[in-house]
Amino acid sequence: MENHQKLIHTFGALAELGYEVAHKQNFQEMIRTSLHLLLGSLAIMRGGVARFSRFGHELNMLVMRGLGEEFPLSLSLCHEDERQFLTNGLAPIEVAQAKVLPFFQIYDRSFTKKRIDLLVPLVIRDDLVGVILLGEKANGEPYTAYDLDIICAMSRHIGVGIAQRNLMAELERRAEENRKLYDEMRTTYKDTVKAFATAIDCKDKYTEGHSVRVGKYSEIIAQELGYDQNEVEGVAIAGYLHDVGKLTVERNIINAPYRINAKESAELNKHPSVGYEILAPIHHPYADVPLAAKYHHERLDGRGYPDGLYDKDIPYIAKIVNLADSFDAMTTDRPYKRRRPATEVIEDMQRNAGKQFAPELVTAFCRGMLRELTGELREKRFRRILGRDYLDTEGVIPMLKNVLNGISPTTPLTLVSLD
Amino acid sequence: MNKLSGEKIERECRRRLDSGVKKLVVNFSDTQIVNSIGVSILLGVIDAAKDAGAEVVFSQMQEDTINLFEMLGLTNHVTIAN
Repeated sequence: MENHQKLIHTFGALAELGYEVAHKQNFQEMIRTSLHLLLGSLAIMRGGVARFSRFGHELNMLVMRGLGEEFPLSLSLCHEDERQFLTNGLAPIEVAQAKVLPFFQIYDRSFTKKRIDLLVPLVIRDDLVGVILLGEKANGEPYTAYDLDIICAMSRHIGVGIAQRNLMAELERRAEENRKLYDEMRTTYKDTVKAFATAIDCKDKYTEGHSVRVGKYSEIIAQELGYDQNEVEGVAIAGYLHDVGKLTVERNIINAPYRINAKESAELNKHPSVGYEILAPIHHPYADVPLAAKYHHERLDGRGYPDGLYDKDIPYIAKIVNLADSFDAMTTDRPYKRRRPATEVIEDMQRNAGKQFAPELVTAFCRGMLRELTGELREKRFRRILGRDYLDTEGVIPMLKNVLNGISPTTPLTLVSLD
Repeated sequence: MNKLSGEKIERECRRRLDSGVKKLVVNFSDTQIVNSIGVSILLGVIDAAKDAGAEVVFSQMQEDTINLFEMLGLTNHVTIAN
């Protein structure tokens, strides 16, 4: 009867311990409960669990019961101790019999004072992950072979819990390292893209900063569409690089201070396809960047170039860049004409919504402007690019409101597609 | 008794011992089963009482609990009362 009750008590503790190790999310909590279960299963008066730190070659106490405040929180291990513990495995070591090891000599006083009888090296898959220290049993009797078997089984559970935690910590460390590396690569990529955009803009002295501005306008449109940060970044990159094909166009055509002729125009109009050729072989972290370069001069009504695509056939990112590109063209001085007033530009976008521009993009863009002008948005995204006064002219706010109320969010030309 | 409530009881006992209490009576009248966590908590109380020179009394224990405590040796450290 007595043995039966003891078995139920002990196996209850073993079962609970298994559950603790497998299910507890909080490591410290798991270790504390595990020590309770181990001490309580055999009524051991006191004990502690320590984790082995390979770097410091020390055992750091994770949890202690009944060891008092004077007990060392960190115990040093020499190579000889570590080697002996590894050879010994999970079998409990009787402290009184192991005084030949430096470890037991160094901490003899502490162990004797607190009557530490056993030390269990937590050796999991040939790796020392910690130790368990155990005091005397409440009944004052020596540990039996049965007790040692139970301690060994429970210690294995606790050791596995610590090993899992170590593994998780290592994985988290590596994941963090990878994340940092990835962030650095992204930064390098973005810096390279910006450098490229500057190089493109250098070719055209009249439109200096054009690519950078188109990148920023594209970014604003994507933000207003509610894209996530990654997508916004991708759209901005597409804006920065949309004119990369101009690098191959003769400088005198790009910089011509007059309206260029048909031949020159044909040469200039090759730049979207050339841009695509340049960007396509590059592995971009964002999809569609090359497509934005290729199709940013397409129009919803099919009158754009290079392929005369209709609405739905035009990649969406190209529609965004197209609007940003056109807006910048209208709001900056060109060799042959001055920039147009804000009201005129807004009117143009409204008039061409559904013909050149996707209506919902015009809406999103105008909403962005309105939010800045009304102070709903503190960030000066437009003013920083266009100058303080450009948008602050009479009639702009009512016109923007009119755009937001007047444009249908769907594209009427969808059905015109030849497909 | 789970770990949370057990540790709360243990903390309360330690607080009382610190304030000079010399006798702690643990009433088991509502306790059907004491698991390993419960035993560990009680050992903590016994240990703290010893340090404080106080007596621990277990009262109203069921027969199974008495048997378990005898087998584990807890009864060596406390006074049993009805």
